[in-house]
Amino acid sequence: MTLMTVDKVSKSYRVGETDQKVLSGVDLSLQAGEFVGLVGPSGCGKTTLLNICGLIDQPDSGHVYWHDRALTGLSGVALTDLRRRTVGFVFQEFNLIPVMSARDNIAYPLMLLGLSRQEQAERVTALANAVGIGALLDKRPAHLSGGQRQRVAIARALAKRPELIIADEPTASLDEETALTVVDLLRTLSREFNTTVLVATHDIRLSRWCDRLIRLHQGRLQSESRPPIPVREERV
Amino acid sequence: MKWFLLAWSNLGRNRRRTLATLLLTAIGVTGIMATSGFALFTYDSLREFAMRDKGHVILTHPAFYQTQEDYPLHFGLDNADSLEQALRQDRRVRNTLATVEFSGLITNGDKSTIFVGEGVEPELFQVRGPSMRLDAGRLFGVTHSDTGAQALIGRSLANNLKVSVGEGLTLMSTTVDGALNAIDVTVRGIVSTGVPELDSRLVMTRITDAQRLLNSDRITRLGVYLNDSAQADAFYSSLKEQYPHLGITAWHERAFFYTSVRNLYNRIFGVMGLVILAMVGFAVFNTASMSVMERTREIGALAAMGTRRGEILRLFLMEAGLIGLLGSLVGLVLSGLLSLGLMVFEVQMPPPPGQTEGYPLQVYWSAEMALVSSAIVVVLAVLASGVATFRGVRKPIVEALNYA
Ligand SMILES: Nc1ncnc2c1ncn2[C@@H]1O[C@H](COP(=O)(O)OP(=O)(O)OP(=O)(O)O)[C@@H](O)[C@H]1O
Ligand SMILES: [Mg+2]
Repeated sequence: MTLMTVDKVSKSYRVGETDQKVLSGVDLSLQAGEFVGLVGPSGCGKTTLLNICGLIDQPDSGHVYWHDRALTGLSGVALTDLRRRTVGFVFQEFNLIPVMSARDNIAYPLMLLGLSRQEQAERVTALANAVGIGALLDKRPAHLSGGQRQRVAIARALAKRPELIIADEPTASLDEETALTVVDLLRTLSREFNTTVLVATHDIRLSRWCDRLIRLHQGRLQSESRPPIPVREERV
Repeated sequence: MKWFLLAWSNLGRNRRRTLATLLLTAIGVTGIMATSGFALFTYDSLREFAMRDKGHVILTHPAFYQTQEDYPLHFGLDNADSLEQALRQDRRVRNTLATVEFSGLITNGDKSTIFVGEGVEPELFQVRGPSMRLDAGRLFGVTHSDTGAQALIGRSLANNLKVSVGEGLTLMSTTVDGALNAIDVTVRGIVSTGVPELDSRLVMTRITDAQRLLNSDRITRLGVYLNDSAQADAFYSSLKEQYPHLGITAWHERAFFYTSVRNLYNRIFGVMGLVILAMVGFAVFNTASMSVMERTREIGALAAMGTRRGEILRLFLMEAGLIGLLGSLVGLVLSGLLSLGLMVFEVQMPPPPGQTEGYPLQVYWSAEMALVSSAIVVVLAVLASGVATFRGVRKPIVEALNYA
């Protein structure tokens, strides 16, 4: 089942007098439940494409389809509500809310959805245990390590059981070992919830977790390939 | 997690800044409460004074306050006694006081000067309460056992004429018929009103002596004193209907000092209040601007996760509202302490212009002002925050997320 289709999407940024074309006619489709890696040199437009797929930015031309429904021309409020229900984000800099405990950070998207306290608590506990921060739920982000913060962020992104998770360099702020564990977690849990994950990364080693790897080069998706190394599911 | 709790937590992000804004708001509210409390105290004292001076409602000949008299008691009231009796039947009426205003020359035989006279009923001193100080002698007693006419005279007038209690003076005036008349009076008491101009001219006699001097049985005015000052307006209206042929004057129409002080204070303190509110508004605006800027990335993240602009804006408005509310509460407590403190530790104010006596400073703590001022401060804080954060909250998500 196709979750999202990106059709001939172009985007340029105005820099001074000239338009700098970042995406020129990108076609991409994401299947439900797949784990897709987006790679490419710095500045090639990975973040730009992710923002469009995450419905927080709009292409200059081309269309984005969500379950075969065109999102073109949808109001900001409608897009916000769509994201609220179906899209989770994992940011490079975590972007946790500093004045909230880990527990409340994870519960935040559930509060937006209006889930009952009990339901929130159940989901938070389950996810926290799954990402291995069950004992840290009362701590604020400032008192957590980078890896722990990113685990909280992953739990937060997964809490609403989204259809799509957008992760822009989720491991760039983490050390190597932590990075691998965190991606592994994301991979395992997204599979469990049948969540599609689109992850941009510089780190070629992460590609082994991906079902599919796409490469962005000079504004186009240059190639789609199977990952060079098969996923090692046994790794935790 | 409720929005409110999140707003509350956000106040703790930059404690120093929150505290500074809160304190400024509190000081602002204290300032508003203190100035308005002082004004209310002043209005109250002056109103009380004005009501005591001439009564809640003043009955006169209809032309009395409009037209100059050709001769004494030209526009006086006839049949004052029956009028007084009728009025005293009304349950709202505490008392009535007839007064004859007159003037002329007062002499000790060697030296004369102008006097301003008041023929009064002896109950005056009970009805009015303490409105003058007795420096020597006695006031008029209610039971009339004096022999001959007696007078209370102002302190400076007594000094001027070099008389003391028990000595005699002569009052000279024109009668209603245009003849010159004189009566001898004995000085019964020497009084100070606190107003120097009055103390050098004032002569009070019993009303009958004044009428004898003027050769008339009219009175100048009849002051009606009510049990409850709050009924003054209603009573005034009912008298107007009841006595259409008389001049009916409400106390405030003759309370010129009260009215002018009130107008002046309203203006001064009104401007002060606006300045204070502007300060509070700018402080909150500033805090909210900084806060929204510092949290730009976070706003981006919240929006990406599906938080509506309105919800984010509401969060900032709640924070400002909380600051306004807490600041107001602290300010109300501070101003309450100020009011209490002034009751316990007396602070003497200098005499008002044209008077010789100071008075103890008091600041009223009015629940109505408390409600109004804190409501204004809260609304103002919310508005200021709205203006400050509106743009920041609407920044495109991608831009907000990239914000350094
Ligand atoms: N807001 C913007 N204004 C102008 N130019 C921009 C803006 N955002 C991105 N760009 C430019 O667009 C290009 C693509 O940027 P993008 O952030 O998508 O690259 P990226 O592949 O994510 O790079 P990196 O791997 O370093 O994160 C870059 O050349 C960047 O300079
Ligand atoms: Mg990027």
